[in-house]
Amino acid sequence: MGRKTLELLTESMFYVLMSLLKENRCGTEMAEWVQARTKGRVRLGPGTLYTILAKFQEEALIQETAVDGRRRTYTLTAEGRRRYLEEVARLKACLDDAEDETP
Amino acid sequence: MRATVRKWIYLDPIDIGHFEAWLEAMAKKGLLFENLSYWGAVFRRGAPASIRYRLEPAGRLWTRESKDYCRELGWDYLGQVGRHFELYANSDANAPELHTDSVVHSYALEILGKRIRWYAIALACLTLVLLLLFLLPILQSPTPILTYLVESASAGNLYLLLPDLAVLVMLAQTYTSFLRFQRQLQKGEYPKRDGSWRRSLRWRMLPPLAALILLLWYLILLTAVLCLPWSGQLEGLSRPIPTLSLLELEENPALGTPQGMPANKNDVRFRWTPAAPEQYYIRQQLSDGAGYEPELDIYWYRLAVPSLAPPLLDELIERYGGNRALHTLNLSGLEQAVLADNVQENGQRLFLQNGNLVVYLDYSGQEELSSRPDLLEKLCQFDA
Repeated sequence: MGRKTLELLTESMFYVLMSLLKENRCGTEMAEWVQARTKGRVRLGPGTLYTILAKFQEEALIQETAVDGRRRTYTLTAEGRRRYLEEVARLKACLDDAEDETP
Repeated sequence: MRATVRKWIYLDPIDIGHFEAWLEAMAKKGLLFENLSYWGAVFRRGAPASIRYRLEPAGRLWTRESKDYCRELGWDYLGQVGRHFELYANSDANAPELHTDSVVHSYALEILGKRIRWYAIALACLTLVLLLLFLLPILQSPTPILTYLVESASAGNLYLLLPDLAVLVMLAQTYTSFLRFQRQLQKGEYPKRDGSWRRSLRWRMLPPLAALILLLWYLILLTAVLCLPWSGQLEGLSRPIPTLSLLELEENPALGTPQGMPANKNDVRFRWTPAAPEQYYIRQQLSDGAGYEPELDIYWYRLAVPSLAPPLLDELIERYGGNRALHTLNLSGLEQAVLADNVQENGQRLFLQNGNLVVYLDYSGQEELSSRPDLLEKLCQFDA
């Protein structure tokens, strides 16, 4: 049986990818960035954050670039960037549809 | 008052939602989880508190960075629980959940979920093997099933199957709960940690309790099967037994116990099995010294369940009277009486049933078994 691939990015996953767009970050920095970016609306619990990181590494969407003491820094791969942009396009299409339908 | 309390764990940690809810309910009573051992969960007495307990698959949050982040958010690592989980606790009501995304939470359980599915398949195979182990010898035996259950002392071993099945049911319940929990997460639903753990606990308590009772019952049966049977010669027997005297049936003063016959030819054996707690097998043989040697074997069963009597009678007729001419007789005080005749072999087989009593007589001689209904009635009215 093959490994199950990610079919859909959840909001937490989407923001984790977004947090790595411009800068390489470690896990806690991603969590802080996401919380700040969403003004506290999206918080990443430790279980969620590290499961996402493990899953994204499995799927080659991110990769570890450095281990400095306790900090493990990650960067977005080309596949991760493509997946992020694909999701952005999907969300934009959703928004366009919503705007068209809104009276 | 002791500082710690030990509680037996009926809920398996694999039943994640209910196990966490149970720990939280204990904390609200002032019992704070300490650790898990083979002898149950140990709780420390303290002030009642609202503490969130969360199980995370073992090894998921293994890096120092992730452990630091857990601590930063107030999630204390309490140690490993069972083979599959690590337990975290948080007393800060405002701290974010360990998992803030249910779909991602379901990913965290993926590996364990695969393992559980394999366990479930292994469990189903084990159940099949267990059933085959117990049932194949019975199905392959030339003895019909009911006769086997009634006569065989080893038929009591079937009771061992019941505690095994009870434990298997318990494991199946646990695996089902885990898979339901995972499915809910996949759908984006957060499983509620409400009072439903109480109902689950009650259900989980049933199989081990049933297994324990059945095991004790099996030990009692085993003792009875081993200790109650006895046997002895008919001559000089002091115990009352149900019998139809061959001497009375023959009414021939020339008949007596043949000379030089092995002692065990005129004897009785008593057996006890759960299906027939009173069974006698009586053999009689006489001789007139001139070549006539009538024999009478009596199989006398008092069954535990009256409804088993008619099918047992049918099995006995099928087994011992199959190739003979069968005649239904009307004998007073009996529900069923069937005579199997064999003129060529100079013998008769009589099958009787009344209530929970079944009797099979195998007679070899010149008399008619049905000619002495008084003896048959006496045989069937025996009460030890």
